[in-house]
Amino acid sequence: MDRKSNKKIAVYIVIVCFMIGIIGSGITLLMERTDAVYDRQQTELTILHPELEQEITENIQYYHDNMKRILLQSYIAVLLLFLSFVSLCLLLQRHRQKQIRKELSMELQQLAEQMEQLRNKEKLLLPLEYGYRSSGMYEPELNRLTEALFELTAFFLAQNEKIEAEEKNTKALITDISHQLKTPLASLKLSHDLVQEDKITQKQRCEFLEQEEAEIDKLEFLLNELMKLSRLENHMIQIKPVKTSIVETITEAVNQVIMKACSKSITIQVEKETDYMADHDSKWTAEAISNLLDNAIKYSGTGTTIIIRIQKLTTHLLLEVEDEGIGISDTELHKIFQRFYRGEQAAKLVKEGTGIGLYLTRRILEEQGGTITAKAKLKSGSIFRITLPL
Amino acid sequence: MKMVSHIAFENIRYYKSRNILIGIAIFLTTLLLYLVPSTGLNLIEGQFAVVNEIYPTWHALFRDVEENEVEKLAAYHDISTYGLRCDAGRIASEEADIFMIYLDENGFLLYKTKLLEGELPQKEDEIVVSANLLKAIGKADKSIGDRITLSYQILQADTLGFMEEKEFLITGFVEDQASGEQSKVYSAFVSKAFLEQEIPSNIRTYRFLFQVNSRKDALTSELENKINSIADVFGIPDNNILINDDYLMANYVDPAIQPAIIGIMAIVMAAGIITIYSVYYIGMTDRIQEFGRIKAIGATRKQIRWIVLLEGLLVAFAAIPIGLIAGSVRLKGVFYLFLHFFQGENQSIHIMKELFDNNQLSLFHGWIYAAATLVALLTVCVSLLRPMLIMSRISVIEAIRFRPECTDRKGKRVRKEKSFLEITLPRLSYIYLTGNKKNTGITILSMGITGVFLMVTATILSCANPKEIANGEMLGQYEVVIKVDNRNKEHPERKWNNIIRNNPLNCELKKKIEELEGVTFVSEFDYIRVFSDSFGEDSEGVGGVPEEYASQLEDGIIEGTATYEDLKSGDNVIIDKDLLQWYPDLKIGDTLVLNVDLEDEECFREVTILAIGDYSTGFTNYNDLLMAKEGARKLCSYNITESYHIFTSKVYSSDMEQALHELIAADSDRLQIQTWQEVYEEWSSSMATISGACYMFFGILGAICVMNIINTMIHSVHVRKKEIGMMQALGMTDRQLIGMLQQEGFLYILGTLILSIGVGSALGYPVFLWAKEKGMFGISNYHYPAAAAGIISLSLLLIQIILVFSLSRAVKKKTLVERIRFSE
Amino acid sequence: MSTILKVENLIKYYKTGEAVVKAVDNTNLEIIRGEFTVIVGRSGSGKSTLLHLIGGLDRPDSGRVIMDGQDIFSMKEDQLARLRRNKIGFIFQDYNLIPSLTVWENVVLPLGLDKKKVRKDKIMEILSKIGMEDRKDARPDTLSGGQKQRTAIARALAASPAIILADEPTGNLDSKTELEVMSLLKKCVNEFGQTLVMITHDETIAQMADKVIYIEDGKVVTVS
Repeated sequence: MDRKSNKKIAVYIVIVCFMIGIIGSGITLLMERTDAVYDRQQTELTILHPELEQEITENIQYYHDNMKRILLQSYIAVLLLFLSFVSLCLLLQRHRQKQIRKELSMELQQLAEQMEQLRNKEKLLLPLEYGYRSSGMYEPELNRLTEALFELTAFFLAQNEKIEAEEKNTKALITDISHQLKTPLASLKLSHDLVQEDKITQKQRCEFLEQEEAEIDKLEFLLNELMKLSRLENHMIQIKPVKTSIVETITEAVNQVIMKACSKSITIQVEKETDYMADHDSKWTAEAISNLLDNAIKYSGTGTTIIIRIQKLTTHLLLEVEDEGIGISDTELHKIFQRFYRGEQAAKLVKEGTGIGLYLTRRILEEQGGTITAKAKLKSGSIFRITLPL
Repeated sequence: MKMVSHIAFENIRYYKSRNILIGIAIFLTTLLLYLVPSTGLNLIEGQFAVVNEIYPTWHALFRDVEENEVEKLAAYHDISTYGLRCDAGRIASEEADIFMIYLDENGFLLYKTKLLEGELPQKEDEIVVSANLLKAIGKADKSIGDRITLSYQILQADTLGFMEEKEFLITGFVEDQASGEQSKVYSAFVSKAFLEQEIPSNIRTYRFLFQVNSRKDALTSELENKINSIADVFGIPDNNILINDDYLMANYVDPAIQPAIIGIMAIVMAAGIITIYSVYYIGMTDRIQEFGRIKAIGATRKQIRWIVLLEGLLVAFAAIPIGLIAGSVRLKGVFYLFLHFFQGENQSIHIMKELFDNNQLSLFHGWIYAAATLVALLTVCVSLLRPMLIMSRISVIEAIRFRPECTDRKGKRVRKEKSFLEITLPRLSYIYLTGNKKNTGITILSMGITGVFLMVTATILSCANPKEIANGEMLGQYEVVIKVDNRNKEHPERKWNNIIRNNPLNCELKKKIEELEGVTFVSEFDYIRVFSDSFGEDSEGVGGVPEEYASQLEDGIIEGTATYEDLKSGDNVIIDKDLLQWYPDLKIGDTLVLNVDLEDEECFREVTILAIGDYSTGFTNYNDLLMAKEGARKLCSYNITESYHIFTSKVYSSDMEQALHELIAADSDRLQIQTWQEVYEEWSSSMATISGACYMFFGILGAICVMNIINTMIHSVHVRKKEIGMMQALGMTDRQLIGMLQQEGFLYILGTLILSIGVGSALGYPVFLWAKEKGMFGISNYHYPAAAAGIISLSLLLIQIILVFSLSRAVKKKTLVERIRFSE
Repeated sequence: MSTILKVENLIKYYKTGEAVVKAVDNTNLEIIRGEFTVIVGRSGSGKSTLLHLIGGLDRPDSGRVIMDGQDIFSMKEDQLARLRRNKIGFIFQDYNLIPSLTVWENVVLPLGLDKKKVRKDKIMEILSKIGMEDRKDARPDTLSGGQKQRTAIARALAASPAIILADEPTGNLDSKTELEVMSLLKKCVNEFGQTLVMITHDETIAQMADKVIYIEDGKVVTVS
C-alpha cells in the first residue's frame, strides 16, 4: 500500500543486516585472533616451561571453551538484536499505515463533500489548501484525483461564469441593437408619415419615397450586420479555422470592395512574397478583411492607395492593411474596436456607419486566435495589423 | 599614474569581500613563509650556538708537530684558526692525575677553557690552576698571587722524567670540568717560557689544533676530507691525526634541511598562487566588462596591467605586514613546540632554549622578514600575471558586449545532451556547477591538492604509532646491552675483541636478573664482529638469534627459504634487507668469507646467504647477518652475548629499573639499560609534536585554500543575484534557496573530499610503503588515517554550512524586487 | 462575473533621499476571471510596483491584495512563495530566463520548484503552441529576444496558474515580434482560460485588452 515506506524499510533492513554481518564477522575475527594469541602463548609457555605443559594446556583449553561460549552468546545477542529491530520496523510501519489510512479517509470524505457542493451548485469552495501542501505522504493516484477535482471545479466555475457572462452580454446586445435600430426606424417612420401627407407634391412624394427606400436599404444593411453580430456573439455561426490559402481569402475580400474602390479610383495593392497557408475560416476572415478595406475606402480621399502586406512570423501570419485616409487619433485608438463606437472625425466625415464593422472584424479574428491592432501613421492614414495563427 | 592608483584603490573598496579574501590568503601565506624558514634557520643557528657552547671547537689536531712545521701549517690556506698545545709534564699527586699543559691563547679559545680570574701564565714560574686541583694537592687556601711549590715530572718523548720541584706563582684560575672531578683528572696551565726551559727544542713537539675553512653547513665528510688532505700535504701519519668527531658530528647539518625548507616554502607559495589566482579568476568575468570600459575611455594596456597589479599589491601591502607581525608573535611558541620534538635526554635543547631566552641568540632575523616579504610579493605578482595579461588583452567591443554567462561556452557547448525532463533542486545545482566547469574545477582542484597533501602526511603520521615503533626498536620490556666502541682509544675495554674475552653479560648476571621478582624471561642475543672482502673496510655484525625467536626469524624472510635448523651449522646466514642498501650486489646463494675480528687470531669462515629477511632493528640490533645462536657460537668460542632482552610481568616499574641498574653497577661503563617505556614515551611525545606541527602547517595551508571555496560561493551567489531573485519570484521558497546553495556547496565539498580523501588515501599507501622502506619513524604497519579524514570532512562540511547560511542571509537583505531588477 | 483578484486601498511609498515617491497611492481595482486587463501608464507612474505588489513580490505599506478570497500579505514568506508558484505566472520585460538552463528546463522550473510531476505532453503542447518545440534544448543566450519571451510565456503557462502577470513583456521587442508575442499570449490565455494582467505604456497593445486601466502617479485615473 505504501510503496515508498516499504522500500525504505527494506533499505533499512538491508543496512542493518549488513551492519550485523560486519559485527558478526568482526566478532568471529576477534575470536580467531584471540585463539591465535592463546595458541601462540601456549606454544611459548610450553617452550619456556616444559614442565608445566599439562597445566598450561588445561588453562588454555578453559579459555577456549569460555571463548566459544562467549562467541555463541554474542551471536545470539546479535540475532536477537536483529529480530527486535525487524519487528520494530514492521510495528512502526503498521502504525504509520494506520495513520495514513486515517488521513486518507478524511481526505476522501473531504473530496466527497466538495463534489456534493459541486452538484448542488452552492457557492463553490475551491480546495484552497491544494497545492500549498508539498505532499509526499499520499499516493500519486490520490493526488491526481484531487488535481482532477480541482480542474473540474475550475472548469465548472468557468462554465458557469461563461453562461452568466453570455446572458448579460445578450441583454446588453439587445439593448444596443434596439438603440441602433431606433434611429433609422424613426427616420423611416418620418418619411412614411410625410408620404402619407396629402399636402405634398408628387415630386416631393417621389423624393420621400426614394429617401424611404434608402432608409429601408440602410435598415436592411444594419439588420444584416446586427444579425451577423448577434449570431457571432451567441455562437450561432461556427467559425471553423481550416488551413487554407491566405491569398485566396484576401482576393475574395478585395473582390467584395473592388467596385467601391474603383468608383473612388483607389488602388488596392497586395504585397506578398509567397502564398501562405494559415489556420482560418476563409469566408469570415474575408468578411473581416473586406470590412477593413471598406472602412479604408470610406475614409480615404480619391486617388489614394491601399496596401495589403502579408508577412510570416514564427507562429503567426501578419497582415497589414495600410491606407492614406484620415487616420485615427491616439485617444481613440483603443476604443475603435469596441461595439458601436464611432470615431468623432469619422462620424463627421461619413454619415452612414454603424460602429459595428471593426468590432465584428475583431470578433471574427479573435475567435480564430488572431488579433487586430490599429496604428496611426506619422503623416496621414492608418495601419491595421492582423495576426492569424499559422 | 595618479589616476591608475586611484582606480586601483576604488576597485579594492568596490570588491571588498574578494579583496579581503585575497588579503587573508596573502596574510596566511606570509605567515607560513615567515614561520617555516625562521624555525628552520633558528634550529640550525641554535644548534651551532649550542655546539660552540659545549664542545671544544677545533676540528682536528695533529700530534707530534715540530716547532718549525707549526709555522708552515699555520700559513696553509685551508686552516682558518689554529692553536698549540703541549703536554709538558705531570704534577705528582697521590689522589689525582694532574697534567701540566701549555696552551697558547688560541688553544684556550679552541678548547673553550676560560679563565675565571687572573691572567695567562707568561713567565716560566707562573701557573694557572683550578680550585679542585688545589684541593686535590691539599693547597685549597691559595689564591692569585700566592706561590706554591709543586713537584713534577717532565714528559719527554712519551716518557716521564725525574721528579723535580719548583715554586710557582698562581696567576689565574680556570673553571673546573665536571668530568674531571669524577675521574680526578686535572690540568694546570704553564707558560711557554716554562716549556722552553724544560724541554729542549729538538724534542719539543706540539699538538696542533685547528679549524679548517668551511661553510657553516658543510658536511662532516667534507671537513674530514679536507683535514686528511692537509695531513697528506704535510706528511702527517694517520695515527697522528685526531678528528674532533664530537664537534663535527654535533655541527653536522642534515643536508636535507635546506631543500626541505625551500620545498615547503615552494608548496606554500604554490598554494598561495593557486588560491589568489583562483579568487581572481572566478571574479574575472564580471570585471572584464569593467576593464573594457576603462579601456574604451582610453586606458593603455600598460595602465590596465598596472591597475590590476596595483590592486593586488595594495592588498598585499596591507596583508604582508600583518602576516609578519602575527608570525613574529607566534614564532617563539612555534619554535619551542618544534624544539620539543627533539627533546628527550638531549641536553643541548635546554642550552639552546637558555640561549634564546637570554637573548644570546635572536629568534628574529631581518633578512627572513625581507625574504618572506619578497616571496609573498612574488606570489602575488605571479598569481596576477595571467589576470593582468587577460585584462590588458580585452578588446573594447568584446568587453562591452560581454555577457558574464557566455564566457564558458563560447564556441563549445558545455552540455550537449538533452535537457532534464524535470527540474529538481539537486539538478539545478548540478546544472550550474557543470555549466561553470572551469570555476568548479579550479576550486575543487586547489582545495583538493591541499587535501591530498594533508591525507598523505596524515597517513605517515598515523602509521607512526609510538607503540609499534617501540616494539620494533626493542624486544622485551628492558634491555641490557654492551656498549661496543671499537674506535675509542680512551676506552680500549669497549673494543669488541676485548669484551668477548671478559664479557660482563655472563651466566652469573643472567641468573641474577632472572631471579629478580617480576622477571618472566630473559632472552639472549649474540653478536660477532666480522670483516669481509665483500664489505670493504667496514665491519658487520653477525647476530645469533636464540631458539625462542626461531619462528620470528623464519617469518621475517621475504626472499629465499631457510629454517632455524639450517642456521645452526654456522655455514648459513640470513641477511637483513637493510644490508642490501649498502651492498646491493649481494644475493641469495652468495658465499661470504667472514673474518672474525679477533685481532691476534685469524679466524675465517665461509658462509652462504640462504635468504633475505625484513626485521625490526630491535630484533637485529643492527646485526644484518643472522644465524641461529648455536651457529654463531660455532664462529667464535668466546662469550659473544651482546644483549639481554628482559621480559617482565609488568610493562614498567621503577623498582625493576633500579634493581637492574644495581646489578650492572659494577660494569656501568660497558653496559647500558634501555627500557621499553622510555622508548615508547620518547616516541609518543615526539610523534605528538611532529603531528602537531604538521597538522598546524597544513591547517594554515588549508585555511589558505578555504578562501577558494568562500570566494567561489560568494561569487556564484553574487553573479546569480538576479537569477535567484527570478527563481524566488517563480516561487522558490527560502528553504529551497538555502537547500540549493547547500547542495552546490556540498558538491564542491564532495569533489574536494573525493579528490583529497580518495587520491590522498590511494597515494598514502605507496608513500607508506616508501616510508617503511626508508625506515622513516620506524613505520611497520599501515594504519588508515581515519581521524584525519573525518576531521577534514567535518571541518569542510561545517565551513560550507556556515558559509551558505551567511550567504543566504546576505541575499535576503535585498528585497525580491530589487534583485529582479538588479543588473550590473 | 467573479473577481479573481481584488486590490484594496493599496499604498506603497518609496523614500529616495528627501523626496517620497508615491509609487502606489491608495489604489483600488478588480480583475475579473478570464479577462485580459491592461494597465497603462507612463514610466514612473508606479505600474510596475503595482504589478509586483499584486504578484506578492513586494509588500505594501498598507492595503490588501485579495486573490481567490485570500489576503496574500497575511501569508508568511514561504507560503507566499508557494502561492506564487501555484497561482501566478510572471512574464518580465527582460525575460529573466535562467541562463544555465535550457529552454525546456526553464519552462519546467516552476513545476520542479513545486515538486510536481512534469506532464511531458502538456509541456510539449505549450512549446509547440509557442513554436519552440524544436529549440527546446537550446540555451537562452542562443535565442533571439522574441524566442526568449516566448520561452518566458511558456514558463508562465507551464504550471497552469490562474493568473498571469506580465510586466511590459514586449518592451524590448521590435513591433512585429511584439505583435507575435502578444498574439501568442492572448491565444494561450484564451485557450487555457487564464486571467492576464499586463502593464504597458503602449496604446496599441491596449487595443487588444478587454479592459484598460490608466494609472498616473500611483493612482487609477480611468477604467475603460
